[in-house]
Amino acid sequence: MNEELVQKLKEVFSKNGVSISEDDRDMSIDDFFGMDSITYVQILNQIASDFGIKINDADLLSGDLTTFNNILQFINQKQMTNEVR
Amino acid sequence: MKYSRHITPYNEFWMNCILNSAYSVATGFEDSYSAAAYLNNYSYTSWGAAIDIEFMTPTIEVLDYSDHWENFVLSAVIEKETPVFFKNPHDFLPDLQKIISEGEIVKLNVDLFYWLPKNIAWNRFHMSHYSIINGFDAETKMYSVLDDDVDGYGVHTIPEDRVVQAFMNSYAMTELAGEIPHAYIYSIRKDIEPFRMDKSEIIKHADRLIEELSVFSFDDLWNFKDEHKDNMDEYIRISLIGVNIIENRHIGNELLINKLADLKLIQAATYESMKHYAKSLQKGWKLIKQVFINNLVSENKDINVDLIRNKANEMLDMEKKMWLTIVEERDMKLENKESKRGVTS
Repeated sequence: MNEELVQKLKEVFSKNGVSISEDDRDMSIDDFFGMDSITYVQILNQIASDFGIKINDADLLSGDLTTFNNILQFINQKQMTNEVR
Repeated sequence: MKYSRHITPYNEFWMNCILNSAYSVATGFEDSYSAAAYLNNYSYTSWGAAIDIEFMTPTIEVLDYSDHWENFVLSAVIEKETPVFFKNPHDFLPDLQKIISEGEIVKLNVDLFYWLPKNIAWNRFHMSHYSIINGFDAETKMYSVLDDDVDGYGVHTIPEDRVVQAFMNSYAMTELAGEIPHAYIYSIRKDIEPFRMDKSEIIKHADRLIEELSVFSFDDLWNFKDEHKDNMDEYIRISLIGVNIIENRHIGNELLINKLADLKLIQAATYESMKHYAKSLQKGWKLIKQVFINNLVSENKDINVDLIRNKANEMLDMEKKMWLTIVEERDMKLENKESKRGVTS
């Protein structure tokens, strides 16, 4: 996984008061201290803005964007799809 | 602060303002009633929004408390709510303070537009409800209030002028003046029996819910229209009220399942299966809630309602399976009894 991407994503979480260690990367985001639905959605919006991707209703409802690593994978896939297009 | 009584907000999960208030009062007298909130005595229903009665949103309504209080589980603690009409409603504070000083628990009709800054209605729309006021400080002119906002059901300290403004603009003082009480006093029973969980009641409601969930549908609900576009955030906020109640009910359902297991009223396999469903239901409804929140915070309000409805209908099917699990456990026990009788006869 691109380390630059990892650091950039960590920064988004950090700006929202969530520090991500290596052990946290597969942990459910719901379990992070102070994480409520509003903060979670705000983080996703920040990610969409910073990485130039769109997170739509179907992406959210899939229930896949629940860990740091899953979000990382999602960004990768979205960016690759954009590049192909 | 002079209190009528210290009240701990009932916060295990959110039902609605009336029920969380009633459970806060009841558990202060007999804490076993916190488990009564877990009962599956509820139905899915829909309501018209305060801002637009034609906009229908789904929610969950607990049975009996609004129309047959005598049948509701908390009637074992709270005998009734006694209506209060202040002698001089334009100078109601002396009466309100007297009630609190006498140790009575009172809830006052207030317009939420002026009530709590973090309440959904604050400075947005006018909606009245009854809010518990359990203390006041005559010197600092502050009041202790139990009510809900975006942070949940909690204790707030608010200034006297806001109490006056919220009451003077409430339905009890405006459009429904003389028709609804200015306030209510909770009448508490003298002898209170502790609450005991009755498994047969849970199964009776599970049977009912299975039938109801088979016919309930979200297809005509969240009926966003093009003409809502300019006011979309308000419609989303209204939708979130009901979704939040449904999501919270599944937190209540998990608490119920844990309680049944603690009391050894269900088998381990039934517990594991129901717990799995309850967790998945919480997750599914949380995702629906997050989709609404996402549309609220995003510039683009192009909400995919069909997708949300499909997910919600999927959740109904899952909930039906959860209740079937406990019903099937009962049916299996009955079958075993029957077959034992067959062997012995």
